[in-house]
Amino acid sequence: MRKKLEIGQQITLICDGTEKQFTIKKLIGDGATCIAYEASRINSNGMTEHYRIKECYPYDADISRNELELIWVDEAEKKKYFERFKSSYQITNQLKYEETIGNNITNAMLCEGNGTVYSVMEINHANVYSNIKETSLEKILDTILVLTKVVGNLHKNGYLHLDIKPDNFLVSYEPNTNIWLFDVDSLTSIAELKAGSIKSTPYSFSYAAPEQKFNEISKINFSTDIFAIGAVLFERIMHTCISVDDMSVFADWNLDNNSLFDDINPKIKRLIKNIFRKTLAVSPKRRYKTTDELVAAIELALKTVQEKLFIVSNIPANAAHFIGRETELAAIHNEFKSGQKAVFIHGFGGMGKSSLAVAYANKHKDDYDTAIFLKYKDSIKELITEINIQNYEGLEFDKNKVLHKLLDKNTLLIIDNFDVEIDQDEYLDELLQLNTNILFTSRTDFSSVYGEDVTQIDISKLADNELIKLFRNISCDNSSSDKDIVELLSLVEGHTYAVELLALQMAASGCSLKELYSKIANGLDELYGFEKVRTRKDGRIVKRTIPEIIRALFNVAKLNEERKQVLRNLYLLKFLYVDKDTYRKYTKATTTEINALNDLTELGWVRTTNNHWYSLHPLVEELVSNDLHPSMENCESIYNYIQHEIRMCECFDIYSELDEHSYNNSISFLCTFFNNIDLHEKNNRNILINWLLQTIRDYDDENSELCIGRSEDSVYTPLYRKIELLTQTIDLEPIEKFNIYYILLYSWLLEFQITYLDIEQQNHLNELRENKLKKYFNLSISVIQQCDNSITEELLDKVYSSILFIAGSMIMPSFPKEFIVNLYLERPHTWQLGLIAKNRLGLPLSVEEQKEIDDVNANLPDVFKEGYTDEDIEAEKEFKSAFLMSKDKVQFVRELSEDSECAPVTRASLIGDCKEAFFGDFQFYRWFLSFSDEDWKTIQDILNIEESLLFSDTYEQSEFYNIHDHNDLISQNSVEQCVVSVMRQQYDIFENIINNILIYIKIELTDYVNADWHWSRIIDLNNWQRIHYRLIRSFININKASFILPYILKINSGFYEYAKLQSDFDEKLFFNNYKLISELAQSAYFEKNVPEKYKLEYMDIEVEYECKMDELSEKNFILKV
Amino acid sequence: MKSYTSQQEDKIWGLPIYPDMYETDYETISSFINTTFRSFGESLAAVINKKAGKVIDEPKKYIEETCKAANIDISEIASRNTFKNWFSAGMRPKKSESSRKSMFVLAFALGLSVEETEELFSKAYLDRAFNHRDYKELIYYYCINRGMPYSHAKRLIEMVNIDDSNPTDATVYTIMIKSDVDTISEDGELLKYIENHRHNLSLNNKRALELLETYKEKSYPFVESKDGMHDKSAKSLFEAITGQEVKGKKGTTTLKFKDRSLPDEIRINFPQVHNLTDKEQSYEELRKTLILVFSYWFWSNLAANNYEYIDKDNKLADAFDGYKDELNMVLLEANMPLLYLGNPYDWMFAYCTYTEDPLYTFQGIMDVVFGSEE
Repeated sequence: MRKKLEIGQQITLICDGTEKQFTIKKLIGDGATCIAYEASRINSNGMTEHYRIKECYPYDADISRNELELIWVDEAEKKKYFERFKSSYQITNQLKYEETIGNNITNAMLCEGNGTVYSVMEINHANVYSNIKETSLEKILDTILVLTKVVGNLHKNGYLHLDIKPDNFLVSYEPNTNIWLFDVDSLTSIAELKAGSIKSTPYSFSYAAPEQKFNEISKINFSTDIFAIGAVLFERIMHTCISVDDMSVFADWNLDNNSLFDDINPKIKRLIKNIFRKTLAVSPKRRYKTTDELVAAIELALKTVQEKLFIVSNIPANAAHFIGRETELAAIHNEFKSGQKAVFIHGFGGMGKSSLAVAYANKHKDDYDTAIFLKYKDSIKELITEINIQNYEGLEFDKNKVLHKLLDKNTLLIIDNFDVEIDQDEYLDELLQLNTNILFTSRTDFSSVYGEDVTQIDISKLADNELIKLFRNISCDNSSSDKDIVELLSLVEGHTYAVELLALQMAASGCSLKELYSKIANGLDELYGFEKVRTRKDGRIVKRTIPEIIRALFNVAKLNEERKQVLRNLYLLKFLYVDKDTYRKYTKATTTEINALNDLTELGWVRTTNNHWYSLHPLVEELVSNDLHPSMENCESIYNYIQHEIRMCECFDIYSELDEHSYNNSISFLCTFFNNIDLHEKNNRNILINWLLQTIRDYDDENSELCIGRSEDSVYTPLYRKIELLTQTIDLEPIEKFNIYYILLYSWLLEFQITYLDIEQQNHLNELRENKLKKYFNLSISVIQQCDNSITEELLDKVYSSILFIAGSMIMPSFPKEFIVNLYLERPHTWQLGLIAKNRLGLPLSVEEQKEIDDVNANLPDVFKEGYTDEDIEAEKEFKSAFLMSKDKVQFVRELSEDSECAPVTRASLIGDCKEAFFGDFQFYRWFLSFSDEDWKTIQDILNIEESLLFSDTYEQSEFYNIHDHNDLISQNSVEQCVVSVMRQQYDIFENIINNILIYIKIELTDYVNADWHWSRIIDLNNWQRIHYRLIRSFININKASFILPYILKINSGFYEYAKLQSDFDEKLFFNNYKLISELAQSAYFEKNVPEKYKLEYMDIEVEYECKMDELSEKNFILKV
Repeated sequence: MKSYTSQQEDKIWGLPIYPDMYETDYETISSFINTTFRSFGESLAAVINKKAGKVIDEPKKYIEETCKAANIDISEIASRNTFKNWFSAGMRPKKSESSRKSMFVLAFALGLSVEETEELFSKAYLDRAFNHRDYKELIYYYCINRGMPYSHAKRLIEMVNIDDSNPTDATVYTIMIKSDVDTISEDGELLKYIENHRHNLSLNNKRALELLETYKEKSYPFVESKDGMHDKSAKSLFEAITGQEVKGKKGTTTLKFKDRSLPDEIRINFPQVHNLTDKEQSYEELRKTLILVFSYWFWSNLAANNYEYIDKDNKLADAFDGYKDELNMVLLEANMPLLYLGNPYDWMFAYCTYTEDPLYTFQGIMDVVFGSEE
């Protein structure tokens, strides 16, 4: 164990032949071969001089100390160490004479005494760096710069220092910063290193480069000293020694809370980190190669520190509960890294755009020298002037110029709430020219405006797990299940801000999740009575109720009327996929309204999916519903469009101008519209119910051709099921319930006009509709009792009058007579129709009324004079029997048609009876399949005779179109009634057959209730294709091709769509269909009374399908049916 | 001539790399390991043959004889069964303080020089010879270097009293210990040296455990649990590293090697979940765990930073250099042998680092060796 000199001890040494006395002041260090002390001496002038003294005292030599004297046991060992000690002294002395470095190496004397040798270095003129504590970064950099230059000079003289540390150099700042190396016995010749004669190097652990620690001599180079300089700089700045972390390629340093960086250009942080990274790297190859490179880096840093003007960062802290958005953060980062100059964060209000921008700035603060957060107000130009330039005292006018210089690629500029119209701020283009990174947050969609170096990132809702976490964090609710929370949050479609608000509400009111859910299920407005919550939005703290906050976020009142109308329209169209074209189509929007739509989209009020489909966010929907009250009245165009579409579909069979494509579009429109309506929402219920009531009113007012009956193919049918289900699943208000029962009642009322060919089915229907009629009547009446007294009478009248009106409108009433009579007797004032109807229903008549009836009957043809009596029915049976028994049925019918003694209408009626007799006994499609060719010929002939009778000049085809409008029947004279009735019969036969078949197939194959109602989807191609083929073939025999063609096209297309989905799709199955269609089109072309424009269409169809057949033929398919 | 380690490094380059074909990749690796790294018994026999200058048919018998001649109790090297396992069953000695001691006793018994002892360690035992920070190994080095017998080394070890000395603070010379000891010619001098350098010669794992904690903490941000949140549990970290699901609430189930083709060097003491938290564990377990966690952190960082600080023109080699340098710094701080490519465990990590997606490669290997039972 070495025995060190003690503090205060005096030693006498012979230096350059002169005896000098030193007092030991401090032990400095304990090296392998030496012990270092600080010492002082009084000079001849009585002044105290300071020295660093190194005593040659190897720890591993056999030495003992007697008082001051070192006693060496082994003289040879002593000699060896003395030589080594002197040799390093000689190097120092040698360098003292080198011009570039000599002045930076302290004077050292080789002295002897106490049985050993000493190196004595004068340190009067400066302080050892380890004793200096700088207070400014500028001073530190200044010192390290000089140190680097000195070490550089050492390198240029062929030496490495290899033990640079604060204890080993002196610093003086007067007049300029200067440095003197002392204790330089570690200096190592580069030439010797390269020659391989150096086996190891001494070093200080805290400052030494890894290659020294690993003793990897071959790697020791200039960069070894550069590492040590970096370590000294690091210690000065970070106030701690380097660790293995700081040497990593992934090292990063937190300089934010370091007071050395206060009030100086923030750019310096990046530069300092860069210096750390390129001096402290484990691998020498990642460091600066020469001190010149390090000098340049430090000089740049120093210059930056000295720059007075710089921009001050002002990024707020992350939002308290900021969560997730990792993908978006990465996307923004990647965009900027790939060279984009501006990124727009686009999204709906309250989705967290600003929070995301702030989070990005905080996360990547180290990637930027400066990050500025500005909240957009009126213009960019004014906004820019808000940027705070530190120490700027110039004119405001010049500030812009200075800013332009200061904003560089290492600056991040965030412009928040840039919710302007695209071309609103003329300075935007100029701003984008700046060489800086700009992050906008905006509800406005800028995606279509800028290309190349400007990108837009759309943010949508957070993932469910993130929303749950957000909700739980704020509400402190740990008891509710994830599923329940997701359900609650789905009411606001996971809208970030709304989720926060709901969580705050729950925390503030202490209500349970279930209570909160039931409250807001009918809209956020239900929360008006709830506690106010305190929240922060766009930097402001507000305390309001949730609806107030949402209203503040989206101020509907500020919008102009066009924009309001667009919002109303989109609200009603929310169940559909609406793009610009369809929007225009549904709303008949003018250019101004389309512009308003565009504006709202840009401004974020209206969302687009895939840049195409428009929709409203639930929160906006909520506001639109509550504040703009969209309804069928104030969105008339949409209402009209829907009615039109329904009319097209319901009456497709008779509207020959509706082609298959249009039909499919209409069906698609209606299916989507009705299927998507979520009736759990009160607003939606109101819209739908009001619309159905409106349809009923229109029907009553003779404004509509629509029949909202319950036909299986009707677009209404699924709706009825939906609303009926509501009365069982939701606690509805009495008036809502009444309206639903009333609609259902009405739909069943209209069922009484349906007649089926199939007797069994007809019987079933009779029973069903009677039960339903009574059921909904009773339900309506009972719910009326729960309604407000003031409207009870009105509602009762409405129910009674509707039933009596419909019952009275039927030509052949099939209502339960007793029931109807009772209704009439209970509320006779609700009867609105005339006497004939009253008579037909068997309602009690007054004497005057009876007389009037008699007069009417006197003018009617005999057949109808007394209505249908049992005798009439018997006579009809006999007539039908005679027809069936006749040998030549065609001749039988022909004679009837030519019977000039009979009125045409009577003739037509009788022919109708013949047809009924002919078709009446057959069931479904098998009926057709059993027909012989002769039978078909008979039917065709009969129909031709009938047609030639009916389609005389007197009865235009247009009349035919009105056959479904039963009201018209009342006002027409009886003759017309009969003609129309016969015509209707002909079409009904065809239509009913088709429908019966389709319904049969549906029932057979699937649960009709649950299936997508478009039948073609559910048909198993393999089973039904052939049947249909034969069936259609048969139809050709009895109907005009032009009637059948649309059906065939529809059926074929349905099959084709369905078949394509099958794995074993084979188009050859369609060859026969194509052939059939082609033939039909050809027949239709040659039909009588076909307008020219349809002829062209038929020709096109024929050609199209012939081509398809050719294609298949060319492929050499073997066709088998 | 290239060192054994740099030859191994070269071999990494020679391996085909199929990032998407881990079965193939694994086979390549497995085959490489099993052909390149001979069994301990074979390697030991080669060392003995070289020392004897002829082929020794019965190496165990030869060892018995040399022990007898050197007055060494053969049981200090290995039991009868262990010898049998080495020479017949292809088994390796475990990496532990005691087995390292056995190797040194063996070196004394065989009369090996320093170079021959280094060869015994690097080629047969597959670890770095002479840990100069371990005062016992320093004494072995001193004695072997001077041709002193094992009994002398034992006596010197008994004489060391590291608790009763007043050590020097000259702690900066640790790497120079070997060259320092080379110049020591007397026992007393050596003992004095050891006393003075007890800080450097300390064998406790305190710093290693601290570093393990450090790299665990640094690794957690890369661990993503099933719900997408960051998870700071040893189980999750372990699963994230290995890509293997560990059963048991806190990962208490030990992963079993389904595939036993990897050498014992890798399989024995392969880190398990508990190694991430155990304060008391063997030196080898701790070193392996530290390498495992450090590697995960380094690889994850490479991926997260998209090789930002890596030379793009020479990506894999540069990444490997960075990895090796940093890991060695960590091991140096932990007072543990540096990365040694002669050790299959170290080699496996080095190999993975050389691939385009090191973590993926590593997990691919784990998939094969641990693969689920189903």
